[in-house]
Amino acid sequence: MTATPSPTLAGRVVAVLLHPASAIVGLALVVVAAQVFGQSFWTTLATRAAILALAALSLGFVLGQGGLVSFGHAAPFGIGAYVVLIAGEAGIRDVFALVPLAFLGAAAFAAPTGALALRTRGVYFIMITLAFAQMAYFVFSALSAYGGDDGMSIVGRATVFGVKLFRNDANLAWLAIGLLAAVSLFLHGTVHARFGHVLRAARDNEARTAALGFSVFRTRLVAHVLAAGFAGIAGALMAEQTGFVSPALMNWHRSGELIVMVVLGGSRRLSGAVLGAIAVVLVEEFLGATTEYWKLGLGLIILAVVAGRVADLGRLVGRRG
Amino acid sequence: MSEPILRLDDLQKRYGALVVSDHVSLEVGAREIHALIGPNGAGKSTLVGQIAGSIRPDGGRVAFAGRDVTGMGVSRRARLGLAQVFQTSNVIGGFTALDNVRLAATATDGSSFRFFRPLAAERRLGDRAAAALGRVGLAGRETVLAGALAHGEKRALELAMGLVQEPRFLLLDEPMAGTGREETERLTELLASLDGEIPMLIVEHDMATVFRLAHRITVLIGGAVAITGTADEIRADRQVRIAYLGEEAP
Repeated sequence: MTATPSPTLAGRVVAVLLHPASAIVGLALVVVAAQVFGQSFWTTLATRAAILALAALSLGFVLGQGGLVSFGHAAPFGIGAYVVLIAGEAGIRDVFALVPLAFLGAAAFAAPTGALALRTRGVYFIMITLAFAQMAYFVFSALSAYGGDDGMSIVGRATVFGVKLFRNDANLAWLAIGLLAAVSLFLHGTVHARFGHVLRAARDNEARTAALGFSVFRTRLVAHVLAAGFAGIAGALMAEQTGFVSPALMNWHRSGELIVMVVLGGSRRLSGAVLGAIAVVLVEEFLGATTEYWKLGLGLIILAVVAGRVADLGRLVGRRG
Repeated sequence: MSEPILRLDDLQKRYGALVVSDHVSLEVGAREIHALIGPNGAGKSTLVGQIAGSIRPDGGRVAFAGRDVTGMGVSRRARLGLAQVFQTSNVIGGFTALDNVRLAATATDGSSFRFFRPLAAERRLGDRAAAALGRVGLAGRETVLAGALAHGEKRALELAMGLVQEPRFLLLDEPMAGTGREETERLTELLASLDGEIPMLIVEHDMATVFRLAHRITVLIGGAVAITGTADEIRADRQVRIAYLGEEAP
């Protein structure tokens, strides 16, 4: 870590805002306030933000730390949602079963497709991850037992030992925020542990990392599968919130949207993806309410961020990583 | 001499019609510093690639530490104890000097698939890394980003990354390329201090370094071994003098 120049007040404020925990604590406060003032709209919005933040965070991990630009992250996200639908039809609704199943389902998709995709680099990796995601899209579109193209409603929200705890929107919000916090904590640890160092080293200098004796392929595959698993959990939460699962969840637009979130928040910091996701959700909600051309507004914001390097506000306070 | 650490057996490699490795056989003894010299285009880099595992030979075998490694890739050979110092400075620019060496130490210290314990808290690795940095003269430069180090310092850092792995063999591809006179002498003495401890194959243009370090020298000309011998034998060889040391043919 570089020496921190004695930070100004503004710098300190920015540092606190950029801290990984701040955004999550912020979401929790919104839920508390929404409960106190009876504004259920805000609970729903915070839940949606937490879910997309979890998906973006998982992508931000492979994209930022691993340098792997996956353009197919909507696939594990959608698969997680389908796990909830399919398991629900089979009578499995307990949250302690659904969350691991969503992780495993998405990971099971990512392991073989990742093993093939990771044999390519750069633009080819982008294209092949997109291709696998489109394949998943069409496979699920063809599942007529689960609604085919149109999708299908889930049986009902998850339970905890038979108790229908998540009928209450606030409880679902706590579940989403809690899982976001847990995954953040895990990935934060990983970034600073051996695994994260090898992953970043391979991003910066693949030949060197291999020559030191590390298996770059295996390292990247594990990161890719982990990220997919966490995206699967996010997808399961999305199914819980909307109560509806369709192939549209794994549309390539969503893969692009997740990349936008990561880039918007800054890919070098894990917290960037979380901030980016919250920003996109807010823009979508409020700009979308005023004009149907809200995506133009989002585009302008992205341009401003990228051009102005606002995403690297952290530099101002001498923070890295 | 005991079992050689490295044995190249009849290596052949061609790119189209161009023969770059022409039935190359070569041995590096368990305690030997072996130098590989030859004019530009003699096929030295291709040979280094075949030893490291980044280039597959068309024919022949590579044996390392008593094992046939011909079919193994770079990272597996590295795990067997083959450490490499590249021709161009090859460090992780975004890591500090200490993190570069710590990363190298991690590679030979159990699994790298650890997700919880911060690397910075792994005391033993940190101590070993700091010691390796001290040995190559980089004490006090631990927290500098590797990308910001001077060229000579990067070369020293690479050497520290090799040494911290306690390798069974060092493969050095022009370690003195681009370093100043003083730096070259310092690095040469550093390598000389490892004589008898770690066997090496060193590809180098700087003849002072070669004659100072090498027990034996192999001259590669046109992809083929022209001669292998001691420094005196090489100096005396007419063929070498004409082809390489720049003497005019009579």
